[in-house]
Amino acid sequence: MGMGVAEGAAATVIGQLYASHAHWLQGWLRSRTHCASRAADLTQDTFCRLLEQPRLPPLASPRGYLATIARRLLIDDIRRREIERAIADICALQSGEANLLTPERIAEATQFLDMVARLLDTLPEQARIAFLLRRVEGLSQQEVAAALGVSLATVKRYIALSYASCLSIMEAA
Amino acid sequence: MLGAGGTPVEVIQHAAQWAALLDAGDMGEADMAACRAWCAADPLHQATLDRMMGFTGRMATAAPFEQAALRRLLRKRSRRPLLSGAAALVVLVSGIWAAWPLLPLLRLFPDYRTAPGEQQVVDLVDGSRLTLDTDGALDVKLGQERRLVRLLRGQVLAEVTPARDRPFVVETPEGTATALGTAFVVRREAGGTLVTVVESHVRVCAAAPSAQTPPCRDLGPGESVHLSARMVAVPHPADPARATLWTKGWLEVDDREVADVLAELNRYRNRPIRFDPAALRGLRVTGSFPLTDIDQALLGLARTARLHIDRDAAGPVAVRPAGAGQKN
Repeated sequence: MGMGVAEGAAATVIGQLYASHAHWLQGWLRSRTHCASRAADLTQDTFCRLLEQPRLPPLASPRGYLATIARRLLIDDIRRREIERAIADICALQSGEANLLTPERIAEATQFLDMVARLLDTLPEQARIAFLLRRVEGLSQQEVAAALGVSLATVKRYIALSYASCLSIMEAA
Repeated sequence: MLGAGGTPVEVIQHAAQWAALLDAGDMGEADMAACRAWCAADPLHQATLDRMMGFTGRMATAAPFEQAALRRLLRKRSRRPLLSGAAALVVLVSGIWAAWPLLPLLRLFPDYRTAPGEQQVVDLVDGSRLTLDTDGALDVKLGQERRLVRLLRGQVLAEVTPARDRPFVVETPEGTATALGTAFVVRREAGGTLVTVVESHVRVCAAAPSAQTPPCRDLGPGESVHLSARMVAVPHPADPARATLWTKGWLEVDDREVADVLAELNRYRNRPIRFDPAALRGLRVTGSFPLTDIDQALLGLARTARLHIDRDAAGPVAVRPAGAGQKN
């Protein structure tokens, strides 16, 4: 019962936020996406995120808070579009395998590449290069160490960091 | 302390350390036992490590189109941080990518690439087919005006579907080879680019021709030409079957310097066969050697050319035995 009251209260707060700021947020997003329908979608997504939160912090600056969430969603959206575009480019370039892909397979590939892109965004620069050389270029850990001019122990640390980040991203999604 | 998804941070940390050790593939028996014990201690340990290794497995088994898409993505990102006109975000996102000193790594992310010893066939959507030889890299751009293949490294056989008003161009820093419908091989070498025509006709043009030589030459089937940035050399006859034999996994040589043949075999190897070119000078060989099994090819070459092969920790060394094939 107590939970119900808290949830109801949160929903009311969000309803008020929506009434006061949704229009403003949509304008804010439109000025960044130059696309009214994307701005509308992202506005909806922003408020959905609020509803998913277990508890809402007291908001000194509601618009700043909304903009922070919206910005994150926009970055996710741009990354996903980039990936979809890259897959479409490859499919357009190549016949054979790439043309036999089902929509499900493409969705799965998009998700996988999104995971990789998120990981790359998360890792610091040296670790990111180590990850790419090891996972994409197929170099051994020794070869990565030689390429970066660092010790094997350092490469192991970078690789461990990539594994840890990868799991954190999986869990956050 | 918990991670975002509920897995305790220290479990993530330990699992990641084990994953990095497993990834190196050189764990001793004691480490293996310790890893097994850690996994057995708690089902969550095992599950966390499995999820991490699962990601590695997914990357290792990524389909060619996924790899190509990833390379394209990496290249695009390193060149240009953002696609849309999101002005405020440009600062934020480009901040992330600007910190990535990828320029020297850019050449690592072509559309298609092959490792030493590997070949790849790419069927393009216009019906043309590219066969990329060992240790090669190329970019493809199928435009409305022309179809462009940029050969960054190695050699490629282009089997081109004819298309009126839409020439097929293979470009290197030295110049271009242009065809309307044909098959030809373009190969990058230390001293320039070699173009060999298998079928039909190809126009070869230098990138920055000197005034003294024709900027372009037209080649027919069975002709080969050396291309440098300054000039297109005079074409010479070449056997088309031999020029494309690598696509069948064979190297055929007719009275070639052994050092040249060793250098050719080395294109297919990660760790080169070592040799002293000066010591091998004058030693010539004729024969066919399998490119799919370079060790076998080296044995065959040693037998045919009466070469001696030493081995040490760093791999094979080709040595001329005293008196073999001396010409002086």
